[in-house]
Amino acid sequence: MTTGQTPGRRARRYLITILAALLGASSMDFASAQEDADLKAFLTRVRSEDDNVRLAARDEALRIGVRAIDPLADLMLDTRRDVAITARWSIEKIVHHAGRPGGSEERGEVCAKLRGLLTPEATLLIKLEVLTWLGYIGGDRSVPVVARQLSDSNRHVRETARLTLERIPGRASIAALQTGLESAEESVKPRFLYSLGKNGSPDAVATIAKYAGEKTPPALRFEALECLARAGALEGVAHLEAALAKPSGMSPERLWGEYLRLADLIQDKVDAGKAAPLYRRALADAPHDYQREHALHRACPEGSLKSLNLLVASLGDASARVRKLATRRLRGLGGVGVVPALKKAYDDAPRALRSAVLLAMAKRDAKASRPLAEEAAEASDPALRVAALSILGRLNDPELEDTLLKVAGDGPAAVRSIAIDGVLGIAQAHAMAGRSGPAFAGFSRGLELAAASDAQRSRALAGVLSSGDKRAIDVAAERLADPVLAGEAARGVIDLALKIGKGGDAERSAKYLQKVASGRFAQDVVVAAMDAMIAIGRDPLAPLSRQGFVLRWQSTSPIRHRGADSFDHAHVPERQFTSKDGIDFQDFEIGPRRVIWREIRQLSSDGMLDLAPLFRRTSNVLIYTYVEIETPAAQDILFKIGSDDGMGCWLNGKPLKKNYVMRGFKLDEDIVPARLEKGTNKVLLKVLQGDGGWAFSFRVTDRDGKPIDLTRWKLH
Amino acid sequence: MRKKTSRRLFLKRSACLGGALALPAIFPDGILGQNAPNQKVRTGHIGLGGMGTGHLGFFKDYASALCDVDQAHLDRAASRIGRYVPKYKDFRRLLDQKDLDGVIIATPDHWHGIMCVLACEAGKDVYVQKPACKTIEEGRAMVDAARRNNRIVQVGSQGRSTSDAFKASQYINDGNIGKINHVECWHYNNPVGGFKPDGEPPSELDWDMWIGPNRYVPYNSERVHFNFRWLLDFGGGQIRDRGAHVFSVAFFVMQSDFTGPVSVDATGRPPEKGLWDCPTEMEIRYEFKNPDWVLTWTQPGPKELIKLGGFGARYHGDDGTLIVRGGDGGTHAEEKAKKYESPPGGYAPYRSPGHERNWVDCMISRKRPIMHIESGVRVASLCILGNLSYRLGRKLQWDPVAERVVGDEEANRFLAQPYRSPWRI
Repeated sequence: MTTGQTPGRRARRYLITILAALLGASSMDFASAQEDADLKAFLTRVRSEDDNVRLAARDEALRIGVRAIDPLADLMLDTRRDVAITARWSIEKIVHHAGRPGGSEERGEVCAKLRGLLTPEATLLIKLEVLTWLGYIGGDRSVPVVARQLSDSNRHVRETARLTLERIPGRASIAALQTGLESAEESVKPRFLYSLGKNGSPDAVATIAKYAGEKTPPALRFEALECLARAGALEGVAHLEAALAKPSGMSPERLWGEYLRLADLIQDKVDAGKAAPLYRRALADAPHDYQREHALHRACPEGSLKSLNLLVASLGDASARVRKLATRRLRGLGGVGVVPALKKAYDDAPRALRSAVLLAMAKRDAKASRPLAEEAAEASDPALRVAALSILGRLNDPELEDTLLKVAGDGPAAVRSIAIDGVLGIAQAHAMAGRSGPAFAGFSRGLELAAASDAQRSRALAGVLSSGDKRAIDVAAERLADPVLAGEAARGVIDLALKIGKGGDAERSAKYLQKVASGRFAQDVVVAAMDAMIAIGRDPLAPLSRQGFVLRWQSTSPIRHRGADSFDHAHVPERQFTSKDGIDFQDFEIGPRRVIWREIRQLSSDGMLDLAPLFRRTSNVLIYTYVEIETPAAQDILFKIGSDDGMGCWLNGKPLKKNYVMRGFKLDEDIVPARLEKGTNKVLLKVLQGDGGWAFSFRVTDRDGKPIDLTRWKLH
Repeated sequence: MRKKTSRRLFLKRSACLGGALALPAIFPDGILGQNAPNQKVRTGHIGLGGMGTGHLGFFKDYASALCDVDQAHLDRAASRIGRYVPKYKDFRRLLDQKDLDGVIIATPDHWHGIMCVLACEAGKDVYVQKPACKTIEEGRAMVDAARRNNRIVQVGSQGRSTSDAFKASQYINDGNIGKINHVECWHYNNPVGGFKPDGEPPSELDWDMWIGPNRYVPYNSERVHFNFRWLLDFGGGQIRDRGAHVFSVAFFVMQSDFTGPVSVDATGRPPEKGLWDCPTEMEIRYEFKNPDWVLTWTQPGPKELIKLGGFGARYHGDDGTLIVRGGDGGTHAEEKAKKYESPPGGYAPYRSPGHERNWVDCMISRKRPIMHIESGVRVASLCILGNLSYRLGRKLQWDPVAERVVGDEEANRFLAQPYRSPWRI
């Protein structure tokens, strides 16, 4: 073969090739040395004492790349936390960069390097971090190494390895989880089932189904059933029904929860028709009212006539919650044909449910329901009769009182509220006729029966309070803890207790007033109760005043606050307080907002004044509070202040303490030594509020911490 | 002789009984009880730190169960209630309590999703603090659980319920500044923390339960309670803490509750020291399509905006701008929007009587609350994607319908988080 080159030319060519190779090698050596130097310099910067140098090094990590991982992993164990954290974040940067779209080659190298760090000798920190990183970018090749960590001696490593496998997609991780499941201890198996279920592939579901049979221990079996439900697997229906059919050691409530989950997924993703029988079964048998309500909600979508029979049947459910939903859906039915359908449902319905259907029909079409109502008004069933009479507007007949009370007590939910309205209407008629006894009895009974309607209860309570009956105060006092009626009840109690006190029975009056003054009511109610107590000679703040607490302050309304600088800013009260003239208690303006001075008072159980309920604006604000303490002689004392959040304190125009901090409330957290002069001492507090809770406490003790009895001093 | 009462007198006496007391009003513009619900609900409270205790102000009469993993929090909250209510350290026991109508979740962010889903499955309505979720998967599960179980779920971005957000929405949607092309959100920086050694948790705190579904980390006081928000794995910084407020108002104004951006590009400056890892400074650009507009988040924002307040948003329209400061309970629109009266037929935004009150009202009416879970999740998605783009160091193309990152497998792995056992969603 000839190349057409002369020997001389060939020799020259060889020479050039050799020279090029030598030059290349030396440039590679040079580059390699350069890279080593780069890496060294980079690591020096990671170890730097200078925060900014370390920060810049993180960005450099990308340039250095995979070579930096090993030495950085060593630095993650550095005793200087800043260095360790810089190293950790530098690796994470490299990992994320390798994980970018199009970075597959680099990703492979980084994963290989990370896998190399997962040696048996590696520390817990390294193992946990590396596993997490492999979860971000690892693929099939990383799975075996991760799977090995499933048998690590440390439980956190084992758990993190499972989570990593859950995160890595692909068949290799499924296979590893399946192997892990088989070899895991019994107590840990459910975790593996769950990880497999998250994957949702047919392979995984088939594995899970193997554990759903009766022979599997209950905890593991339940996990398998839950996973099948979460996967929306049709085969789960039979398994769940088998588990529900006989005692299995699993909680029936939880099984029903999974049954409904599966029904929902089948309805949404497989075939709505196949879900319908599951909901019917749940409606009949699920133990919790919310589970039956769930089934009804899903089986009977709003406005659908198809589910009419199921809705009517649900009117007879034992739970008010289910009946309520059925009634709402029944009344919300729309479209052509709804009235005939309701008529038919009325004819077909069991006697006990007819009243609800009749009312639903009247709501849809009053005219069409009238003939049926006329007929039902003569019915022997009291509930049906009451429903019919309400449709016909003939419910205010006093002779109906017994019937109404009966239906109000044990009638169907849909009619009960109508009957209570009737009871209250008749009580009102008694009151207007001056028959206070029957009026009180009617309103009290109405109050007891109207559990489901706050409007009715409120009306009943108002009737009780205005009935003039002496038992009214006890009825109202029983409602002081009522979530809805408490305010109305408290006002009524104050009014009636004052009358009792002024009538000469201060003891009994104070008992009622104390309940209100110490309760969590609106500030105006609390203050009114306290004033009423003072009016009858009982100061409710005295016990806490004896422990040195000041619970009565002049306070500004909230002032907007925007960070530490703003907290330091001296607003009008602070400027006035530190000036010669002192505070003038005039309202003032900050920007468009008016700030006003008012008194705040609270009867607290532990000396804490809870500010959050006192103001509408309760985030990023501050208030000033002011009190004057008159002492008989000069005295060294301690102010003990608790605050949520920060606080500032001044005495007689001079600053004592400022603490800008976001914190929860703790009694006596700041202890401030001070000297009270003989005569009037003026105290100003500034209480900061970031977000959430807002409170403060203030008390005076002697220098040994013993509370000073402030009832012996004058406070203004 | 019996004294007869006239109908008029009767009504006067029964309706105005309180009037006879002539009670003095203490704070006419800030009196307590004005927001108090007038319908009966029973609430369970999970998480009783700052926000959780704050909720007790509104729900004080309704609270029927308390739960916290920190006994000190639990005891403090119980003392604030001032009456007996059951106390739990495990929220699952609280969910077992049958008489509760709803639960208020005010835990660190990493618990919101699981608790919300389990509460829905236990038949409770939910008020969950913002940001709604920690991952996209959690968000979907929360929406799904609310829908499947027919639950009312309100997310605690209360800025929407303020009158200024209402006014701003009317002002902008009535076209006063033209078509909006840019919503410029700003905030001050995240803080830089220090180090404290890892150690044993205090005896009153169940640390394992506090970590919950997150991967295990040793106890450190720099992680726990309020500080969680400065850690990417637990909170996620101001963009989650306050961004969830500002974005919520922005979505309310832009009527974007059911969509999301098509791209997200974030850069940031990590803290130069300390355990906390949320970026101190941050810039994010979100692009929306159909209609086309851009939302940006800058931390710190421009000086002229920071001067107005720590955070907020400036709406740039073709014909002008509108600034809405804040975004939480303190949301303040410019005067021109505050004074604006919408003409007949003008835009009518959702009007809420107060955020917590709105939730209670909706529990009773079964209507959609103002910050329903779907919207809460969409808002939280902005925070999640912003932090993700920062963390991965690259721009993300987002499919707001499929809720997946386009062409980026690593980013998609972040959309769900494997939970420690026994937690699941």
